[in-house]
Amino acid sequence: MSLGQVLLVATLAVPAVGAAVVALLPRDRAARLVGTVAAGLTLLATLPLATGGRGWTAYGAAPAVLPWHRLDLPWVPGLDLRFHLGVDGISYPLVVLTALLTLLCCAYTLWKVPDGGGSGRALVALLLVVEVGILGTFLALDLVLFFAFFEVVLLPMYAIIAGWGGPDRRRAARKFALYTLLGSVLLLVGVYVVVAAAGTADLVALTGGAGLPRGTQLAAFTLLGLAFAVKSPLWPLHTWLPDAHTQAPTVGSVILAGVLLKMGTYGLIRIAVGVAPQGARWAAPVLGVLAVAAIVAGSLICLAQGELKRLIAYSSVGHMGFVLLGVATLTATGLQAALIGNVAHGVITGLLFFLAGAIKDRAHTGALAELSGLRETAPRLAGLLGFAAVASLGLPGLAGFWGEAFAVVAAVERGGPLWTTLGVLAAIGGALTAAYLLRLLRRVTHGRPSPAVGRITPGLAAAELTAWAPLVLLALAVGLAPTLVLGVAADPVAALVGVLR
Amino acid sequence: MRVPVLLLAVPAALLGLAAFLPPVTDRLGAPEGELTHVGPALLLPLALLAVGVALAWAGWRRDRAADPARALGPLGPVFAAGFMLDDVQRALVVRPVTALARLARAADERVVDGAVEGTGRGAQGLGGALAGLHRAALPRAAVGVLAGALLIGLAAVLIGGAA
Amino acid sequence: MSLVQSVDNVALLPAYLAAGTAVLVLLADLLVARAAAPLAVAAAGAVATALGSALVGAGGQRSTFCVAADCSYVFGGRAALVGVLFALLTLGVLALSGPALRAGQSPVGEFCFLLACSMTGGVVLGAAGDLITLIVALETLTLPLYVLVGLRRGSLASAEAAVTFFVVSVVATTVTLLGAALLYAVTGGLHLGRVGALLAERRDLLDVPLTTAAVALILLGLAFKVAAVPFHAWAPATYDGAPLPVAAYLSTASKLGGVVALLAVVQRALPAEVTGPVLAGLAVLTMTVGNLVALRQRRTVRLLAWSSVAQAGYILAPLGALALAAGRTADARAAAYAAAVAYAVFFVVLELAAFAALVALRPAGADGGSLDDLRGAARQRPWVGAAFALALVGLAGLPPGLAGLFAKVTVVRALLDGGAGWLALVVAVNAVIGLAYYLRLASGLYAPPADAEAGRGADVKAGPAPAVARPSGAVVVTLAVATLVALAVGFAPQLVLDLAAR
Repeated sequence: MSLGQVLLVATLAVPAVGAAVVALLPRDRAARLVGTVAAGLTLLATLPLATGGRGWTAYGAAPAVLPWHRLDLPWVPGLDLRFHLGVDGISYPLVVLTALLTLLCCAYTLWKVPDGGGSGRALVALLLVVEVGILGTFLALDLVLFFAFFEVVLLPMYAIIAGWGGPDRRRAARKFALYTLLGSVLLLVGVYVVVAAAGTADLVALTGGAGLPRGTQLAAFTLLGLAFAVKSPLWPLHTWLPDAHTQAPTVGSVILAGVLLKMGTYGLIRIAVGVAPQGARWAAPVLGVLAVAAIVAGSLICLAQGELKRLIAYSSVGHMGFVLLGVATLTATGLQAALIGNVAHGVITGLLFFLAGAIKDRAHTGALAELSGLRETAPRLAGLLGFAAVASLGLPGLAGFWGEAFAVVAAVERGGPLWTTLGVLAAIGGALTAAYLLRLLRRVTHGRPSPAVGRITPGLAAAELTAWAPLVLLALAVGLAPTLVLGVAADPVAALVGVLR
Repeated sequence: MRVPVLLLAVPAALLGLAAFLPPVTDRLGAPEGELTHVGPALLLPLALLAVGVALAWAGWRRDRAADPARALGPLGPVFAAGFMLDDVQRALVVRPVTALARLARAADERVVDGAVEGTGRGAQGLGGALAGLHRAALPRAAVGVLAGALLIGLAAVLIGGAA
Repeated sequence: MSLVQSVDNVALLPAYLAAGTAVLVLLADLLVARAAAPLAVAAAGAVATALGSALVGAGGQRSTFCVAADCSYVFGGRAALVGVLFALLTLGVLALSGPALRAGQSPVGEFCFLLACSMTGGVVLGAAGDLITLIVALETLTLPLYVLVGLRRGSLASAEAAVTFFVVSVVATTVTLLGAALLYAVTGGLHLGRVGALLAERRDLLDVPLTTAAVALILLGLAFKVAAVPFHAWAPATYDGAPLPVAAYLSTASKLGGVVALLAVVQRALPAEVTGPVLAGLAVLTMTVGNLVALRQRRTVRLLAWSSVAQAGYILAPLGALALAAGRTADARAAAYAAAVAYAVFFVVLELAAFAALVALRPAGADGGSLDDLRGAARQRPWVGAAFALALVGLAGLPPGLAGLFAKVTVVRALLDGGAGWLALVVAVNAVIGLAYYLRLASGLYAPPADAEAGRGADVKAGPAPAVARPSGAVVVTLAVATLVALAVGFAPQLVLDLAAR
């Protein structure tokens, strides 16, 4: 077993074992500490994955997926399921982001356990299980294994919302679980449509279509596309998201928006587009139209939204619309925009939810009508909120810019009346994005302090700063040096676009 | 305060004239005469500006206490509000967009989410209706079984016979 | 043809062991005054039956009671699997009944005797090679259950349940017998293999409406045993009225018996062109109605009963692929049968775990109670609660209980291999409906008591929570073993798939 394979296994095994240990430890605080250490070790295990063979040295055409490291073991031959893991430039940034956000959430939980009656120990254990599922989804190179990990996430996330969430948490959690399960059972059917036709579930072999007949590809893309559209979420399949976000505890929202939604967009790029390229070409206009509808509708709804977390949740709908628009163009520029948009959204929205949680915890309300003048009583918190909002609206130099701008560029470059119109509408949506985020800032930070805000003390806890600082730095780093993401993703995206032709 | 004002005012007034200096235009790589094309498009505004300055100065000379802009009469407020462009924008862009936003939010909550919630409630209701059918006493249950067997058997015979 | 047949006693060994257990239990009850004696004998007999089935099954297929090539008793891989499962389920149910029996709710000797009789029927059922053996074995399996259901002393619901069960069951058996008689009239054969070969050879027989009617009647009669819609109405009332361990037996062993019988006739005797559409229709109806009605149940056992109706739909679903030509290739057929068996195995393990946990959470000898009675139970008994939640989540087909996930995957895969994508979608949507009520039950286990929820945020002390009695050792062991088996087959589902394909 090579070092890379050990790392791949460790990436999944460390949080899994960590979750078990945390669940079994009797003492709450010690258990949370152990969980944070496990999350830290997981992050450490993911970092060296970047080293690894990038070139294709053998004879013949390079395959469309060329993992830096891979591990391929038989598991259940009767179901075509192999324990096949691998990492490449498309998945690596998301893997690191997942490990990082989980670590930050565990560390945050070390400081503060949300109300709701559940123990902090159980929350950390669930966070680690969710991490296993998300990392497994990003690492899986076997369709059935991908599906299995996709489903692992569902119930722990349900439990996080239902156990530690807001007043209406049970309903929101149930809606989340049922709606996203609908997506994932469609994924199951789609996966086996492909596997039954191709006779294999190996993603490396399947990427590029593997000679699947056109009808199969159309059916597969429809099912897979719907499945990932629910998870991403794509308008109009998004309504589980605002409820879940509004009710979820802060760490739940951060994981949910930061990385869980990425399972949908990642799956769309790697599985749906990769395995059924003909289907993708066939459905691209529909996907593009829906993506732009998501951008415009999401922004408009944000503009009329009166609750802080709900507003940020709907902003995710708009931002994921840009990502999906990038994917729908099926060009190298568009896919790159989608990947960097994914990472940027994870970082910025993670930060936004942390800040929204901090404000709600302090002011005991999230209603925009009751929040104002935050910069008077808590200038640092207001400043950070301003930074995050400006990053989210896509200011050049911050992470949010690249994904949005290049999604529009890709649509316009694609040409033709449809795509040009979509590009223009998306750009208008970008302007609306700026409008609602500035409206948010004006309402929350400016003006006279409202009674709810007046009670807030200016201090920030060290744990909060520790959790937020990496995200602030990453938003800056990705914004100033987008090659951090684009560089590693360039070759795999080129290979993918190559098989799309 | 005077020093910074001077530092800013003097270059502001004079730097524009640099466009007539060949060394500057050469550096900028502009083609000959491009930057300093003296035509009607440049002269007309300059002339109007001069007239305006002169009129304002004359008005000020006549009555130092009054505001020379009063001479504009009813046009004054329009000019002061930047030709009412803000109001035009508010009427043409902001209001429709906010109205649209409220509409989008209502539609999202009532129609899109309503469909989702409705599906859930529909399933619940259907479950309730079906459960109601099952609160039958023994004779009806036995009859139900027999009737079911008869119906499905008949269907199988008819469809199977036709196939 | 000699009238004196040579009898292969080795092939019959599991049946002897099971029947011997029943006799020994009676003797033990008569001769030994202690109440524990029949229980111990029955448990030992169940273990012996399981071992015997496994050993005989390991030695390859053995047949006996043969007329020429047609045998009435064929003990092969499938029969061994069924025998072992029946014996182990009986053992588990015996362990679960410990507290109820000790509480004096039912007479111990009779209880154990009847259970052993039922086990005998199950063991023979797996090996049945002709329709008469099959029906007799199935009745041997079911008859003791009428009494077992009504065996709760002083319970009117129990007696009512027994009568409903009895009457509906008799009607169903009549329907099956009528079907078998009609089939005999058409083909002149009763041996499954012979009927199957004859119908495959003479396609013109299929055009006779009588053949179709016969096939449909046999199927529908057997559908009663798996509680498939529209022959399911007995199940919820019966489960709820029966003592908890008997309900566990009904929803695992008895249901398994129905599945085995259905598979036997569908796989070996009846033409897929006729059975396929009927089974597909039954599957769709069963899972949809089962899941929808389960949404509205307030009583735990009724919820589990309706859920097990729905689960029967998932078991039948792979056979629905036979309705399509693409589902009738040799490979697709084999996959469909194997998927149905594999799902049934996953299901009985998880269902037994769920019932074991329910028994553990309820006072000795109590019924399943309402969902509110279980509120917050997992906070008082975290391990039992976790096992219950795991079993429920597994039944819903979701991780972390991988067994349930792979069960769902197996069914969907078999359907798509058979080209029945629409049926796979129906299964998929039903999985979503199913999760709704499994979640309700599972999350209720972790919910704070009702009064604490009302005063959430304020410093309200929870009122005296309903006391959860300490469960007996045997129940806990059963629960632990069932949970561990579920976890083990979750990580190594290939074991089950291999066994199911034999």
